[in-house]
Amino acid sequence: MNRNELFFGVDVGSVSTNLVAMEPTGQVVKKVYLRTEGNPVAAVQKIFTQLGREFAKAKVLGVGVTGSGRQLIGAILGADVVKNEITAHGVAALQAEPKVRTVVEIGGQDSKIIILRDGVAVDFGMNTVCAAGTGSFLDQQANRLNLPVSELGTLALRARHPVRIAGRCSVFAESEMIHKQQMGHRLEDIVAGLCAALVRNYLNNVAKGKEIQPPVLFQGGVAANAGIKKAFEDELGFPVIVPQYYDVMGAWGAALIAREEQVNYQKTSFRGLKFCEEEIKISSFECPDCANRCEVITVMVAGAKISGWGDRCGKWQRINTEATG
Amino acid sequence: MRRIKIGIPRALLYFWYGPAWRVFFQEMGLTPLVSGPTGKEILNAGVKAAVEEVCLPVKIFLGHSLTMQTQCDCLLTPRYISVNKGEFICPKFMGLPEMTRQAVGTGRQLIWKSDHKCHWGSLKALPREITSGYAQSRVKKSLKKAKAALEAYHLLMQGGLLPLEAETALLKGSQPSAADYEPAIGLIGHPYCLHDAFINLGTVQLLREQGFKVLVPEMFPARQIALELRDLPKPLFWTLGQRILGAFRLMWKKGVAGVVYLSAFACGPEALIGEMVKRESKAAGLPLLQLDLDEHSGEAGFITRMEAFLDLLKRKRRYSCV
Repeated sequence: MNRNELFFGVDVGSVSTNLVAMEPTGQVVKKVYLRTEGNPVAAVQKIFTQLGREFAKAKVLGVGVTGSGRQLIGAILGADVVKNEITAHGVAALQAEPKVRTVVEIGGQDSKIIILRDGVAVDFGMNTVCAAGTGSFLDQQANRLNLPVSELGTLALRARHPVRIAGRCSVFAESEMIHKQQMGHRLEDIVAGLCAALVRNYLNNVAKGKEIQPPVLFQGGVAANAGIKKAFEDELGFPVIVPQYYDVMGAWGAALIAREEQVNYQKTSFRGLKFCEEEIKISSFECPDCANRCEVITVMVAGAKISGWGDRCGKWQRINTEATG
Repeated sequence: MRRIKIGIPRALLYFWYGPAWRVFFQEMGLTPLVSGPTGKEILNAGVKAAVEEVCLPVKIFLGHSLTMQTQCDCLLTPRYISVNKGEFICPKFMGLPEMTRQAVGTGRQLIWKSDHKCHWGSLKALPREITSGYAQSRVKKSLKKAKAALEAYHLLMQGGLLPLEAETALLKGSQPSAADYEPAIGLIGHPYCLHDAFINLGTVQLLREQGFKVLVPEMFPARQIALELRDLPKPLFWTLGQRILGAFRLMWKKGVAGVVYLSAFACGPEALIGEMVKRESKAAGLPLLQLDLDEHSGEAGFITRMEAFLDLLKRKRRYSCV
């Protein structure tokens, strides 16, 4: 396959790292979903190594990066746009369904809600520090029940009498699930109860005080779970839509924003696929120059300093920009 | 003769009364020493010394007191319970001198009061050490100058300056003018949350860098705020809470693009004010971002939310113009 011109969007999340290659029309030509496994740099290198063969001849017009590791990966890639994941998800949802009024996104470590009216985001919410009710909790429970996480959903759909599980706190939820198991409830009923608890938790915390109006788009890795989707529909009373690229919406959004902002940067600063083979070193130190004691991050690629951040005064960022030009 | 040094922690009500305190002690022939801006060491010292229940700003106050106690002869620990009739400051301010004593140990403290019986600007409210050790005429004169300084300070802020800028302008005598540009964004919360750039990760600067003119409650005169809140079924008895809600309504009338509300984690009064602000913003269709500040506020989550909110405002503007 050889496409001529492409935008790349990368979403560096806590659990997964995703990439989307997009035509200038907005059409996705390739999506990759990979587990981050605690090493975002290695994950991105792996993805681009895979892609290198496929898109060796393509011309890259722009690169957008989002997700919690966006700053780090953005620096290494030479991204043109580094955007927060809320904006990215909102933009992608609008592309998938221009009439969307609510976006429900449940990822590995965080979950969010975006309220849109007439094609513009007007409000959003995000879970607080606690990751209860997110993908990693489902992962954990699937592990404990010795099931692949991808099967939780189909299992939940087979439930006839879902049990009630308190979902406010994942620690309590887990002990309650164990209790229900010991009482002799069927596994599918417990899993369905877990899905319902997760949805209730989401609606009561993340979506608290927000008006959920259809069409609702359900995206993020957890949208693969049909049990959760059904629990949402039961709770809301109307269907929710899982878009085609539900698992890479953040990456798609980043690519779309890269396209949108192209007028501002004209030529991409993407460093090319060569970075896959480069040795990337990241170090941090505590700057002793003032009472803030900032933890400054320095990124070295092939022995040369390319970026750094974390300082509140901007001194190290300035030094770094001067060094790199 | 060595002049006595008075340590003034740059925390809590300093952002409202600081210049008056500085001028007063200066006029009394003492040397006011104001602690530096909050940093990691101050935060850590405060968190370690404070009891768990208090809010972050009180911990910061204790941190400032601890770091400067060795450099001064007396620490100023105000006990401002009430500054307006029928209204109160948060109860934690009532116990501030005691909390400081517990944290700092046996240093000398100056307790400047303000309550329903004696206003902070009266002789009775002053620390005993001052009123008994100096001629009354001198104290009165200094107090008058302090009040004049406070008034000038607040006029500067009402002219569009932030507390720090107004303080510099007042004490150094320079006269910077506030830039007036669009779009404006409202930033509400207690002054010690908004103007301590360390605990709010430089929110004001961040908003300015993103091209917003920042409005804060200190820029609105008390009269206007009182007028704005006349229609409440029951008056709010937290003075600072009134300023937050009143300023919020005034900002909305001024046509700000959105409002950012920074609240301190574990702040009691704010639990109530926050809800009122939330309901009113929803009814008015004014975008609102509420962020909690605490000592381990994840920087990443804070910045992500802030960026997303600013994107939302900008995109809204861009698409509503087309």
